[in-house]
Amino acid sequence: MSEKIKELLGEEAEVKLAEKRYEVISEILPKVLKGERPLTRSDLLDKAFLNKYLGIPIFLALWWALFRFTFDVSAPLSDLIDIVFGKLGEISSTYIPNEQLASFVADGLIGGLGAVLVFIPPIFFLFFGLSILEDSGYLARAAFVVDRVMYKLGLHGKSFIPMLLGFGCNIPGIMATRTIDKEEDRILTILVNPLMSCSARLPVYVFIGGAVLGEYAAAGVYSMYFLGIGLAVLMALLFRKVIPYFKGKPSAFILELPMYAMPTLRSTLTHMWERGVLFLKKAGTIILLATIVIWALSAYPWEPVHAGSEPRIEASYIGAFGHILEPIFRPLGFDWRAAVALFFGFVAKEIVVDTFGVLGLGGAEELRQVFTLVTGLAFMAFTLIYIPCLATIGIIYRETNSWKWTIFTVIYGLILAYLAASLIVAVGGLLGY
Amino acid sequence: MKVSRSSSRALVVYAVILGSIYLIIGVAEFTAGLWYLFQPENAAAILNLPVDLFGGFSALVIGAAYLGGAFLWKGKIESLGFLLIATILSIVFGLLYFLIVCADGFSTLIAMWEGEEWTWEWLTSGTAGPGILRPEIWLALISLPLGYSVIKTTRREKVQ
Repeated sequence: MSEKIKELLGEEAEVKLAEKRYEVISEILPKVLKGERPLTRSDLLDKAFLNKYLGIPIFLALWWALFRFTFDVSAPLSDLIDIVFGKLGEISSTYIPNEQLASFVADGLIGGLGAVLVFIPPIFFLFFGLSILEDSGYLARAAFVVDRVMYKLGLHGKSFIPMLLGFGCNIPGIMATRTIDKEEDRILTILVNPLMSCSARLPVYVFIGGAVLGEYAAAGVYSMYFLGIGLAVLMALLFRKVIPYFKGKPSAFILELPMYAMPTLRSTLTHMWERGVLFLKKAGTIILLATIVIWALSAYPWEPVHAGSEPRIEASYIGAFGHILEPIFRPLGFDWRAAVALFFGFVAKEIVVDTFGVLGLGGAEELRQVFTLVTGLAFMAFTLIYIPCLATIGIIYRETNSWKWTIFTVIYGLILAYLAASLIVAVGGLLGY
Repeated sequence: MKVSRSSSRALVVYAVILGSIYLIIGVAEFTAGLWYLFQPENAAAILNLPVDLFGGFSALVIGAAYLGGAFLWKGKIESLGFLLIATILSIVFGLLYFLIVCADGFSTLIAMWEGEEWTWEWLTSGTAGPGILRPEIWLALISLPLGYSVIKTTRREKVQ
């Protein structure tokens, strides 16, 4: 039907309708308004923000500012939380007489959960910055600017909003694809949405990046977001070329831009809280449960003599399982602990950090024994790309109503993650890192 | 729409000077950052500016936005948009680097609580490079009068 209309009108019905609507508006306006149309501040700002040459560089610069704000400005607050949890761990080890209970509280609850909770500040800072961009009216402009590139690369302009939401959480991002009318465009956007780096991956980047990338840490985190965008565009292009179901051009993107507004502190803080509190809820439920399971797997079979030491963890259930996984990840330079962390990260990405915490790798010094600069970066890339979390897989199934597309997303994600991490390790080796 | 020449030309001269400074800083930071990426052992700061690839790129963008306002010379009021954006970006980055310096100071304070000795190093070297001496912080202050003049001009020209 839509193809028939397109044939008759020479362009898409949506575009034609929008054109006609504005034609009618411009016919009525001169009759009811006298003089020249007044220029607004929004018009002036749009001259630069939507500029053909400067629009995208401005977007990239603002994004960089957001990440430095998220990463560097929040750092001392994370340090404070880390110190508090460190002290709590020491106190519980000292005052709880039962060895197993002390290990559960200190290594499991405090070590694991504490490793995740130190990321409350960067997550809240990220949402604070995003809320300012959104409330000011800039994010809609960003969608408009990026659409030019996305359309050329085979993605629908409306895909940008779901992709942008994916930076917060992939679930609302995937649900937002319902605004895309054409089924092929919608499914394609769903398939690449998990490549958008959600806030659950941020703790992993900050954790690994802060420990092994040194002064490159902020740049490393920033590059993960662009790696995600780049891969999403690349995969969309590839799927459109290779998979017959997606062949053809995406439909046109029509967006009415809101006026710019000065964000108020109250609304910005409210938006930040609404999004950030989801992380806190997750920490109190799924992550807490995972912490208990991972601690139990790492503590048993119980060996009191080596309590808290590495040999006990190596001989535990989790150690045995990790050694089974290790050969798969060895070519990427990941040891059994990294392999186990990635395995549990399937439930929720924050659990990757949680697992490292429980396995006694909560500090930068310990992490530097496991990762080099290059393997750390490869691990971050792997975390970004491989299987989205369990809840995202569920929502992909619900939105596509197809096991075929759901399984496809999981498998291509795993293969792509392995390839990207291998490439980082290979290039890093060539550059002499 | 046209804007009166006498007021616009002073703005353009100010913007071109600021834009050129940002471009020089941007090129120096970006080049040093790029060099550092490929040759970390032989890399060195240019003009004593921070080695910062993306920071340099951002300075280049601000410089380009300021220079984009040069068309105001011919009285094109739309060019005020470039000056507004350049000033906003300049303030955003100036504030960002200032906050980073403050965060470094807070980190030093936390370290002191943990038993380390208090030093003032965070003021002149830290996460933002040369700390409070980061040129973007001072350029943001210098851009404030320009921003004020641009807003005043938009009011005078009855921009709504």
